[in-house]
Parts: sequence; C-alpha cells; structure tokens
Amino acid sequence: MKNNIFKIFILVSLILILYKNIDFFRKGYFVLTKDYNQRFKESYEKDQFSGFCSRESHGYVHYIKNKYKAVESPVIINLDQARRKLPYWIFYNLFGIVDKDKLILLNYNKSYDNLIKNFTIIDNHINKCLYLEKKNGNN
Amino acid sequence: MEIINIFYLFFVFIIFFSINLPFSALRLDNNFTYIDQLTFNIIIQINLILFLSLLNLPLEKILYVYFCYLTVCFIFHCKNFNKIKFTKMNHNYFYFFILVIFFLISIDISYSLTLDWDAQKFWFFKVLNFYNNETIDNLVNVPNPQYPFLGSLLWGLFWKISFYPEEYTGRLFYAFMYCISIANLTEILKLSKNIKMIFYIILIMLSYKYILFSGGQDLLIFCLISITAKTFYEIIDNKKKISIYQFLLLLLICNSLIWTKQEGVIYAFIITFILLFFSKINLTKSILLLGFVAFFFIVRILVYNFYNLEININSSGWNNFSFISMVEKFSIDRIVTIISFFIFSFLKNSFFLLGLFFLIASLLYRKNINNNLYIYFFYTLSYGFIFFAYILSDLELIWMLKTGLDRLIFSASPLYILIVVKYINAHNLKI
Repeated sequence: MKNNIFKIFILVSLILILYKNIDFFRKGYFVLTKDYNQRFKESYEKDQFSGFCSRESHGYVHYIKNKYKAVESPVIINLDQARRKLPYWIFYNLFGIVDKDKLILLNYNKSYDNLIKNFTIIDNHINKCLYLEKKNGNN
Repeated sequence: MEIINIFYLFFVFIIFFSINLPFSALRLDNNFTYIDQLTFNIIIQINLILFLSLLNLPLEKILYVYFCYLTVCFIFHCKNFNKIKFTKMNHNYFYFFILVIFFLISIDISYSLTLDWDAQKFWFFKVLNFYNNETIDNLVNVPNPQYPFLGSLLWGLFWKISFYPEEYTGRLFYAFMYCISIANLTEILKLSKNIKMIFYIILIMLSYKYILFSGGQDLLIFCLISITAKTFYEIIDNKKKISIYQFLLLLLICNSLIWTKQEGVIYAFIITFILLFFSKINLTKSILLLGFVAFFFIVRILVYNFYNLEININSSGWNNFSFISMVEKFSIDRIVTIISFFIFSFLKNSFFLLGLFFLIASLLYRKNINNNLYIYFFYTLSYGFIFFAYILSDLELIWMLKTGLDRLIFSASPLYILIVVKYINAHNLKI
C-alpha cells in the first residue's frame, strides 16, 4: 500500500514537472483568453527569423489577411538585404496563386520609392511594411 | 472553442482508430492490448488514405471513402457485438493518462503555432494542395515535388475534419501518433501499470520539444520506428515466430516510411534486413517480405513517374556523382566535421544517452549484449547512410549538418529505448 502511494506520488510529481516544463498553465490560459490571430502574431514576434514587421514579417502578412479579408495572397516582396522566405502560405491558397493587383512590401524604406509610384497605399505600418493596390490602368 | 476542438479531435482519433478491420474482430491475438489495436488500425488506415490518394482522388472524396470504410467496419462490429473484446476497466486510467498528455501537447501546439523552415518552404504547400481539394496530380506544381507526401496528406485530412479552420489542428494528429507510439514502447516493460506510466512520462519528458510538432516529418518517422521497435522486441527478443498481424504491420510500416520521407526508403529496407537476419522467419515469408518492400518502393517510383513528379535526388543537394568528385568529397576535413557534429547530436539526444547508460550497465553485468545485435545493425546501417548522405552532399556541409543532423538522429532514436527496456526486463527489477 505504502509502495503504491509512493509510486502515485512520483507519477503525479513527474506530471507536474512536465506541465511546468511545457508551461502548460500559462499557455492554456492564453489559448482560452487570446484568439488565434493574436497568438499567431505573438508567436512569430518571438521567432528569430520573423517578427510583426521585421525580417520575414509573418505578423504583418497575417494582419493584412485578416483586416482586409484577403482570399488570395497579394504579391509579397521582402526588401531586406538578407535572404528571407516569403510567407505566402499564410493565405492557405495553393502554391503560386496570387492576386497580382495587390502587393505587400516588407522592410521597405524610402530608397525604394520608385517601386510604389504606380500603387495606392492601403495600409502603412511605420513606413516599413506596406499593403498596396495597383492604380487603375497600370500594369 | 479551440479547447473543445482539441477534445473533439482526440475522440475522433480514438473512435476512428478503435474501429478494427472486420476479420481482426474475430481473430485477435490474445496478447493484443488496446494500444496494439490502436496502433494496428492507425497503420492500416493511413495506408488506406495513402492508397486512395494514389488514385488521384481529392481530399473530400478520400474522406467520403474513408468514412464509408469506417461505417462498414463499424456495422460489422455491431453484427458481431458479442465477439468484440473490450478493454478491462483497470486499463482505462492508462488511456485517460494518454489523453492528459495529448491535451498537454495540444495546448503547446495551439499556443506556439510556428512552422519550422522545412514546413514553411515545402511540407505545408503539400498540405495546402490536399486541403484545397487538389489531387496528387497537382503536386508537380508545389515546391520539391520529389518529396513524399504521406505526412502532409494526413495533416490536411485531419485539418479538414476539424471544425476549427486553422492549420495547427491537422498537426494534432502528429501529437496523437506520438503519444501512442511512446505508449507502445512503454508496453514492452514487464512491470506494474504505475511504473509503466512513470516510464511513459519520463520518455515524454526526454523527447518532447515543440519544434518536432512544427510541421517537419521526422516525428512521423520516429513514431513508425517506435512501433517497429516494439514489434522487433516481440519477434526477436521473445524468439517468437512472426504472426500474420506482425507481418502485415511491419509491411505497412515499411510502406508508410517510404511515403513519409526520402530516408524512409532506407529505414524500410533496414527493417526488412533485420527481420531476415535476426528473426525466426521462414524462407517463404522472407521472400514475401523482401518482395513486398521492393514492390512498394517500385510502386512509389512508378507513381512518381506517372504523375510527372521528380524522382531523382539531384534536386535535393546531390548533383555530382562522378567518381572523381566523390573521391574529392572524402576529405579528412569533411569526415572530421561530420563526426564532430555526430558527437554533438548524440550528446543532445536524451534517448541515446539513456540507451548508452543502460548499455554500459549491461556490459558491466554481462547481460543482453548478444541480444542487442540487431540494434547495433540498425544503427550501423542508419548512421552509415546518414554519414554517406552528408559526405556526398554538394550543399554547404556545415549548414546541412546544423539544420538536419539532430532531427535525423532523433527520428532513428526509439531503438535505444529497447536497450533500456531489455535491461530492466532481464534484471527483473522489482520496483
């Protein structure tokens, strides 16, 4: 009997250690209280290759998808000097399906002004991440 | 909503994978535990889903046929209700325990959400191909068409079944498979249920990392090898003849490996050779086994050719196979670099360290050493293959080793746990 209680004590302790290691209670609380979009944004802000509007900027692309209810992915251009993946997958479209009239520019700066002269700015995040739409009649 | 979805998916997994094939309801082995049934059904059903996808069916039709299959099996079970063996009540708390662990991992996945580099670059586009109701035919239009797609297909399928429309719900299947495969390893222990549960949780603590569930396919390879490890123990260590269930299970595992990752083909053949050399398998079964695994591999090549998916390995980082180039790659520098990365990866792998500890203990007590031959054989061939894959690679070696070796070592690691289990069982430890 004593032996059994000891085993159960060990088992419960190990479960609690595992819960603590995974940080279950904090994460569980946030899954309950924060919606998917907010958690997505925060997760990629912590990612070493991404951020909201830095590096691969998953947060900004996801924000555009939700705010403008974009069904098809706009063309995404990352102007960062480093080689970056383009997070087209966030739109859950088939590979290669893009709306060529819309453009997301990531890590933009004023030296690329020429690039956007034929576009209307729909959304501008600190002049660094832009969501643009082609002006009528422009190719 | 999301928490309800997690419970919903858990019950979907449990119910779907509890539905046996009609004939197995009548002829179940006496030693078949509920975990064995679940495992067997998972392997059968993922192969069924794979087979349907090879017929160029879109995911909705695959789901339709899959539900029909489950319904037919279920009706058969209802007709033979009195012949079905239910699990004993005293086992139920172990399954409740698995639910607790599954829930824990699911919460971590639904909180962390990030996809790893490989998943973002190509695995997830394969998932999207199936999720958007395209067929295998269209895989030629996604990045790295030469890569197998079974894991992506399952991810897409369970995402489709889920009522919460975000991709991570499909990855919860990986969590379920992980929980069941670790339970499989635990079942080998000849100890009380409480100790098995303690061992189970230790294995989870040693192996769990969120990165494994972030869309890479190494976890599935790990799970399939875990299930194989248990079957090896039953056949080779217990010196039993291979039963029809074990034969079928191993064949289907080999097929699943071939369709999960490129290196799965190698693992499939290594598993076959282990059975041929180390188990009590008669000549007919040996020929059948080798023939079937070769047949599965040829089917994969034919299917890839038929749908114009690339099959060559050149696009995966091996471009130059000329003799001179290969000899040049065997430089001392490269060999030392690879070996040093191997050592670092071993030191990071908890299963390896645990296995090593018990291996040393076995050597000290002079027990089990000969019985481990097939484990040494498995690792010699696996690591030999990994070593040659790296040394012949044309991509930047250090970058390849940094990004891939830990995952490769992890996916082959379940057999180390056999050393631990065998030590505990052989010493008849009274805990």
